Amino acid sequence: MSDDLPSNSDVLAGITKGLLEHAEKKALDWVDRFRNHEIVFIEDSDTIDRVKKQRKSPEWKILSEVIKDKKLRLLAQMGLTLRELENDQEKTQSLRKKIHHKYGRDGLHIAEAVQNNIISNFIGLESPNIGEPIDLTNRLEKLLNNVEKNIVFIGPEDKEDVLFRRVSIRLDADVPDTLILFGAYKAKRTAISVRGKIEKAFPSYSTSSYETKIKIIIFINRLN
Amino acid sequence: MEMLSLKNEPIEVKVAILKKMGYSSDGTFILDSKGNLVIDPYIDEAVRIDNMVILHGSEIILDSNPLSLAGYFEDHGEVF
Repeated sequence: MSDDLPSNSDVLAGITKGLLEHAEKKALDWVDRFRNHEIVFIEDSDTIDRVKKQRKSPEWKILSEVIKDKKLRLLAQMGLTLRELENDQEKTQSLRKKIHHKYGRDGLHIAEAVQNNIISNFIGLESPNIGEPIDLTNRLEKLLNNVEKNIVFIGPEDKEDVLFRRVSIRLDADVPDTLILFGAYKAKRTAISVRGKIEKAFPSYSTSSYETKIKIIIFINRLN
Repeated sequence: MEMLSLKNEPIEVKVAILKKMGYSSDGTFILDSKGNLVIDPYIDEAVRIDNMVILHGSEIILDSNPLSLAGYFEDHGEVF
């Protein structure tokens, strides 16, 4: 190789230096624009657009008017996101993991309650009976803050008799204003059977339900 | 306000941006000026350089996911 020609390593070093200088210049310009409040840095616009779109949805409008607690609002919004992501297993699992990591099992159940329309139906059922908006807020936030006690997510392996005993104990011991059963697919049948038994065994409670082809939400309400 | 995506930018650009703002990276995570991992308060997890967003409100660096972004909007409003 002639002494006049640069070596391969010199060429590579030159390219690297050029790239770094270009990156530096670009970064400096962008950081200036950021500090002038002209831009924000994002990764992908899909995630942000999804969150923004949801915050404009009619369901969020209702939920956000009723739910005032910051943590519950966030979990409610995550419930709507989980519903939207239902067909994307990878994104659903990733978000569920994050919710669970930050807010534990209760937090995940609160999000699932919104995801499965339990909360919107609760608001729909309760709204006509409640005088002041703050009373609905208090009632809903109490329900969500005690999600493990107030909402029973029936699993596919849950046995009807065991579940009936569990629900009966809760109704006898806690005397809740509302207890909600949720079942999907195979668990829907279990929920319907348990409802029948509850109606016979607990005359002081009335039941109502919302159902689709695959799931059912049963509201067990204490009669005044 | 414009949303500038870093998705297709080379890591050198991301590192340079962080450096200008007083941060750095170990190649995977973001570190603050003291060398501590930057933690996203909305998920309690370290922010990765390949999935970061940098937003206003004292230069907040977060992970790009629905929980963090919804949390940011709850705290700051939809400022962009």
